[in-house]
Amino acid sequence: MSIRIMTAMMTNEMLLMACIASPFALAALTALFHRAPVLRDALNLLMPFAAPAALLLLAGGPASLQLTQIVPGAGIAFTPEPVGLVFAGLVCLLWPVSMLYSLAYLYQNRAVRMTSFLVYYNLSIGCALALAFAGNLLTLFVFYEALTFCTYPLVTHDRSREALAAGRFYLAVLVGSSTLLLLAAMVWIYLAAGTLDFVPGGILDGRIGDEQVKWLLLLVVFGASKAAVMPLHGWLPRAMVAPVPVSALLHAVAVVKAGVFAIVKIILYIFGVDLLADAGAGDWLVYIASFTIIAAAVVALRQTSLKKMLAWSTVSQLSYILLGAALLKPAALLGAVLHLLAHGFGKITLFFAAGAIQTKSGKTRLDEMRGIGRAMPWTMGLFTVAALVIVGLPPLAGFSSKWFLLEGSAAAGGHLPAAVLLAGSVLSAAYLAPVIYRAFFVAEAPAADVRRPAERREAPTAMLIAMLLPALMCAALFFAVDAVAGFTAAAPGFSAEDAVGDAGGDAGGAP
Amino acid sequence: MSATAADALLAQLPILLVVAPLLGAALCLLVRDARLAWGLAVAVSAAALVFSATLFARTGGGLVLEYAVGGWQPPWGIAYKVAPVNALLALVLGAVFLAGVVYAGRSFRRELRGRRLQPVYSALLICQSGFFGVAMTDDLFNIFVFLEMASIAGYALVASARTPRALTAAYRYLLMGSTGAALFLLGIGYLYLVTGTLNLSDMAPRLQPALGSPAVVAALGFIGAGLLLKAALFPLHLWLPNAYGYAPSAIAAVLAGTSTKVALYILIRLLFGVFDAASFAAALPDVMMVLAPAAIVAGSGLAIFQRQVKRMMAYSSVAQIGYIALGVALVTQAGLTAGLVHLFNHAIIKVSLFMALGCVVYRAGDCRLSDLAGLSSRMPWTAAAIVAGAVSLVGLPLTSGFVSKWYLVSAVLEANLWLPAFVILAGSLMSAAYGWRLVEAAYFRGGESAGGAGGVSGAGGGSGEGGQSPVGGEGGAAAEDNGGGNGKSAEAPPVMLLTTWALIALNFFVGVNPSWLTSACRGIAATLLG
Repeated sequence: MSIRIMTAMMTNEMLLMACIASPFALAALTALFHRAPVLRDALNLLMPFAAPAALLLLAGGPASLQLTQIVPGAGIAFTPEPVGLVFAGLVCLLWPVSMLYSLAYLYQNRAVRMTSFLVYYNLSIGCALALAFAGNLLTLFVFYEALTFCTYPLVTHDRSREALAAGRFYLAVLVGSSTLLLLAAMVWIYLAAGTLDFVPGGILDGRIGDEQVKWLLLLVVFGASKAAVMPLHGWLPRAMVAPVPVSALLHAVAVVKAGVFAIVKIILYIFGVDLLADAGAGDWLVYIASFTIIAAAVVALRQTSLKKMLAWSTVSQLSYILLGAALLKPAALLGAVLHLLAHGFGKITLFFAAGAIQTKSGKTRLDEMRGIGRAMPWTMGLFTVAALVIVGLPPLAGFSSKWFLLEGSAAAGGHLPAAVLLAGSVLSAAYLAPVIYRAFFVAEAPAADVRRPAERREAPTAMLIAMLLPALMCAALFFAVDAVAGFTAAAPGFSAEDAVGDAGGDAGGAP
Repeated sequence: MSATAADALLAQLPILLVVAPLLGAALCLLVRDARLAWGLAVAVSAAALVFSATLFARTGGGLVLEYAVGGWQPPWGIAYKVAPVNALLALVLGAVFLAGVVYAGRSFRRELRGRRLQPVYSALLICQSGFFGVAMTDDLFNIFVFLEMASIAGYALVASARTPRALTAAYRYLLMGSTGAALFLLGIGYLYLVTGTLNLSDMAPRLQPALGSPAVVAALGFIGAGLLLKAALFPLHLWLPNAYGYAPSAIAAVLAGTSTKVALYILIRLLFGVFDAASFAAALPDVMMVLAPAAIVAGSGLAIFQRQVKRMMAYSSVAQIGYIALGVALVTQAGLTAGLVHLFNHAIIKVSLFMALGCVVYRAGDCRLSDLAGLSSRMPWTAAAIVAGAVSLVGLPLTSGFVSKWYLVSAVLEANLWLPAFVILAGSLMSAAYGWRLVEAAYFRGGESAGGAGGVSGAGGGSGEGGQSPVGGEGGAAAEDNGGGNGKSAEAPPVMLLTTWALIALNFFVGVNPSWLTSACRGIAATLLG
């Protein structure tokens, strides 16, 4: 009996290890086979399925890895828990998709330094996965920092003057804030609680005053500036000089999601929802997230470049997740987690579509999008689906997440969050709809030959597949909300009896 | 039987650590072949590392080794006494000197071309003997003698580059170092006057009744000023940038890891072992508490604007000494632990950086920022070593620098000092700023031509640069693989790279698994604070 349990535990731990190690292993293999491009590319297409497979087999079974001890009581440790597993699931699902797209994009655009690109891409994925499974704050911090440095070569991949300047800014903001604020917060937590372990319900209860809780949360939210809360958001639009697959990595898979995940995880497992609610510390985060939602959406309205507009949209949408976390209500937390997924799937499709348009026609400005829907119907069709996810219409995942966010804000009382959520959706429709309208309903350029029907220059099949899969996931997620709700019910603050159970039935069954 | 023989040998280790390098120094002058002299120096240094590691391991259990020189019992004779704090310093010295001497073989042959190298090795061993003497002895005057012996050898070593700049730098080092020594000696004189003894263990209780007297106050002032000058705590650092910047690379590496550390060690011993740091001598930690943050800001700030990279690293040392001094100045268990941890970590980080720069000098003749251009494709291993050193200085997680930073920040916050905590973190950002100048120079300048011609084919991907920091070592491997694609790699000799990377490996080892070091330092701090 005990032997069987031990074997099961060992298997779980090995699966966990395999899941985390697979991107790092792929990075090493890619570097090793840099002179055998066919083998290198085949590995990069196939090996990304290893992590999702391992994750599926693991399926949240109990596992815990303790690798080393860096400070007394805290070292590198991995422990899966529901919220982390959801984030890991996002990364695992999007890893194969983005590798497929990256390879297609790199070959189509005749990119140089492909090996180095692939190595750092895989390393970044690995850091994000390790971060998702972090068993304590120190591990989270280690991989949070490592992620910055692994993505830097990708942001500056073009080596242009502009790219280098953006890269310097990227590092300055991300490393600066995490060193000055997040590290300080971590040391503070360690001194107060004597540990850095992630414990359901938090480790700070009774060890820190109400006023201090507010300051500490301030340090955490601005320290994890990957979450792009205003005013520490500027690095994200500037990083748009990077190649499109890197934007996808930044916006959908790893970087910004790592930021919001870190904040959510710290709220749930370091502070504890109850402590924050008692101290009233979530209030200012609600205001700041609300401001970011509206302000970034307004800026997005005024953009002239498609990629820049999508970047500002990300800034706005990320704060939905933070708003959900800051409301500290079960339904809002579920909404936050769902939005993490929905925005990831939706935004990656949008960026992939933007990259396909740029690859095929060289068009990047919004006013150049006229008639592009006729030239690339599939691409723009999927772009439209993804845009609906961001706006939040059924039957797509964006609707479910916003539904629960609204429900959470109703539970929390106060009209501001609900109004902000709705206004944000209207604004997102306002900046996304003109693109779609121009693409499908406006002829290409008035001066050009109008009589000749626009030439079909559809994106390569590989890119289309990479866009289609996340779009399908958006639809699937809409119908699988119950499953996610059931899965996260075990996490602290998500308690099922309060709101999740019956509301989940509403959203899952009603449409 | 064998156990007693081993114990008998163990008892001789303290004196062997001093005598062996001294004998080696004499022998070096006698041999005709410079390579033989090098071999001799390596053998002696290797033995010294084995001895000091043994001492570190044996004293870890709380064992204190005592040795009476010539059989004269203390307090009349000179006593050697090895407690964990001595063993820790000896371990740092042993590691740095072995790496430095091994490295020096090829480095000297290039940088000191056409020179007789035997005297240089000899001076290096005299310096080693002197520093080990400081670490082993329990006699205050003996400390002074050994310190001067090492320092004078150090002045000569800096001057051995024989360039006008190096000679000027050595002269300034000599003047300021001797001033420091004179002040230190004066302080020792006062202490001897008051207590009538020079034995440190004997002195503390005798000094206790006289603690408030003017003579002891004067002694504290003179000793403090002298040692802070030797330790190059800002603003007494003026000798350091040029001495490290213009000395031969191997010498800069060795001195960077040892000379200031030894002065700080003496300061710690006297502050906590003889004077009462918490009450009577509190003025000195107070002064250091002001100077240390200033050192961090000024040193890092000046480092950012240096074009000569060795001088940049020297200014960085000024800042790092500030970190150690800050930890010590807290006069708490946590603070002293942090200071000692960083004393060890900074030694290995900075030595590995100076060694990597020496590799650049080996090929390029100098190491201005412009000499680093395109380094990633010409010398991928060297470039990766510089990156590894830079990220350790910044204190990224999994490097030893992170461990230091963690202990320092938590010690400072524990004492409720928010401003110094901010200074520490801001200082690490400033070190990121100058570290970043190195990375940009090595990876983003002058490397374009190598990558451009590759075109579409897969092989083109291999000719580019590795890119960023070797987090977890992967990046280093990638950089090497990519660099190999050029086929015109002009790396430094393997022995120089190996010693550099051995220290970097030690650095990452401490970063991942620091408990052996931190628990030793915590024990030492507890003992010193009594």
